[in-house]
Amino acid sequence: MRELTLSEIERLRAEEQSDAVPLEMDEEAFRGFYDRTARALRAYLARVTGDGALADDLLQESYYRFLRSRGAYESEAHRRNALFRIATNLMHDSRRRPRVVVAAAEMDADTLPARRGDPGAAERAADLRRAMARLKPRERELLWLAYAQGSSHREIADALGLRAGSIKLLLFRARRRLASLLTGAAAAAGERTRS
Amino acid sequence: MTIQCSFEQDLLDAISSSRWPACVDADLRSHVAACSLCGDVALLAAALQEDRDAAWAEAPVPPASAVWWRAQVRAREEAARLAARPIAVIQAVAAVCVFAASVALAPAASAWVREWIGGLGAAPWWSVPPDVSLTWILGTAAYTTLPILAVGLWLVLAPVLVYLALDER
Repeated sequence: MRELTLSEIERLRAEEQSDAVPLEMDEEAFRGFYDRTARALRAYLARVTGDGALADDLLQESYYRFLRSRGAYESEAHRRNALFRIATNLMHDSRRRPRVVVAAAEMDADTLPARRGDPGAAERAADLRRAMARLKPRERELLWLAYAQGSSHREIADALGLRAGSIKLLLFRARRRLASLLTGAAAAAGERTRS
Repeated sequence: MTIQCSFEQDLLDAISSSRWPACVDADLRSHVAACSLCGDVALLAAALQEDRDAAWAEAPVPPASAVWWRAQVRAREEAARLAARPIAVIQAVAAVCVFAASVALAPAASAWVREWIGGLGAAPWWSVPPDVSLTWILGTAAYTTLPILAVGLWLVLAPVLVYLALDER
């Protein structure tokens, strides 16, 4: 995604004041909403797609479509769920289009930044990403929303366009699958350490 | 088959508030050690929340103002595209009308053209006379190129004029 220069921003500001197009919310409201949601949304997109550049593109597109949707939202939570639903649909669309992606499964601990004071963190992160890459996209979405973001079943259902009643079972299956992949990875890592 | 444990929410709260495993009740710790459902939740939630913190730290999101302005620019471009759609439709209608009129007038016009060519003399109309002069070139251009240019200009300008006439602003 290309960075805007200061002169472009000034020009856009002038154009915006002279000929604003009506969007879902005004700029002030958008800034607040964006500050509360952008990091979480970018993390969700990056981890589910396994592609940081694609996540950046989808982030911009998600907010654009959200702003153009002009939906009637009852609450902040409802608005947030709508945004995540748009992002989820965009991820599904992007999977249908051919694109060169660095698979998350190919990442190893050496390519991930080591976190200060915790030498095992990069190894754990690599194991997690390899395991996540082996899940179905829907499973990744469910697990990320439930356990990384702490969303409720109702929120997950709204964000993914599923029935709330089905979330518990889907989450159970996805959790079992990821847990078995992670414990397998941990056992393999233990073997490597011993040998 | 049990798919959710009643301790799960307590465990998730403890993990998200960084109380797990050191600062929680011994009861919860012993339950998680014995319960396979909670064991999975503890393993995954801790790993995913650690990865979420890493994801938040590793790539800064663009500023809200940049996203807002890009959205404004795209919205304006889309609005312009939508506004231009009637122009394209009018151009297409105009082209169809001209084609239909040409087909309708072709028999009458062909007789007139044959008569006009016959009036030029015995030589075929496309042949160049031996005494080519500037007057001949200008005359030929006036009879052939200018009408074509006029029709082309009309095809281009007519939809614009119609658009300007219909534009509410």
